[in-house]
Amino acid sequence: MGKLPILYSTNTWLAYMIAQRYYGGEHYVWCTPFFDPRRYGDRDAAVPPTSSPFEVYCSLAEEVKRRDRHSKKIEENRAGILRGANAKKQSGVIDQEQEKDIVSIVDQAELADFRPLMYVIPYSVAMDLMREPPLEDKAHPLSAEYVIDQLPRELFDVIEFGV
Amino acid sequence: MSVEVPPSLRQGVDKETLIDTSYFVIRVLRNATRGYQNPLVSSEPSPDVRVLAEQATREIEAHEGMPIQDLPRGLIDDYIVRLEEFTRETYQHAVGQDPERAASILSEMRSSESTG
Repeated sequence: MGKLPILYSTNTWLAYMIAQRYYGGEHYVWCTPFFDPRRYGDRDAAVPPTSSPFEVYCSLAEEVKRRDRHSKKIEENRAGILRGANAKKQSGVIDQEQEKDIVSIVDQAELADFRPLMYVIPYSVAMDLMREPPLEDKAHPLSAEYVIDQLPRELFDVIEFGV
Repeated sequence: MSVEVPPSLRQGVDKETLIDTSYFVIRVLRNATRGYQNPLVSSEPSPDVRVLAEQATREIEAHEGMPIQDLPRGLIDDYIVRLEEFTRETYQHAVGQDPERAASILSEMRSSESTG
């Protein structure tokens, strides 16, 4: 199978809004060209269900809907946002007050603020920004997963849909 | 929930290192739930963070008496929740917090809904 033209990434509304407000609209994303790997055969889609943007979207939406206060996915997302703030402070993108804002926002956020969004990224505009994650971070050695550390907002679309 | 934060994360680690380390330990735990045969700490962070994350992971394994990938799913979830809480508490303690301002910014964000 050749290069698929679109990359997909599931993120939370809160992570999106923080990147828009504090990081100059530059977003950190993990993405894959397979929206729902179950639609492809094992041969083509080397992306396990746990890395499927559609599966991640559905399970996150379900946990928000269930009002699961100890959702593992939401806790992971909180930790990821805090790690992002820590890194942005160290690199000088945000100052001390902005760091304090983000830490306070993450603490005050409600479950609904962690609802999922789907990023739709044209491969052609993202290809120069992508890197492969370290092997130990990939769900499968051959899985088609990519990281974009700083994806400008104007290079992707955002979709929110009911599941 | 009776899980403990690994001792190496509670012993005088600076805020920057702790936030990063906790994140990478959470990632190992998360990967264990995704069916990784041998979940390892990522090579992405700095060497000191990686070494500390590996130590914290070994401490969880020693405390539970089994490799990370064999831990029951519910126990892994408890560790993830506990580590995130510990990270957030430590971060808040280090930089302070302003709940009123945060509530105001969140309210503004929600009303803008500007994802388009």
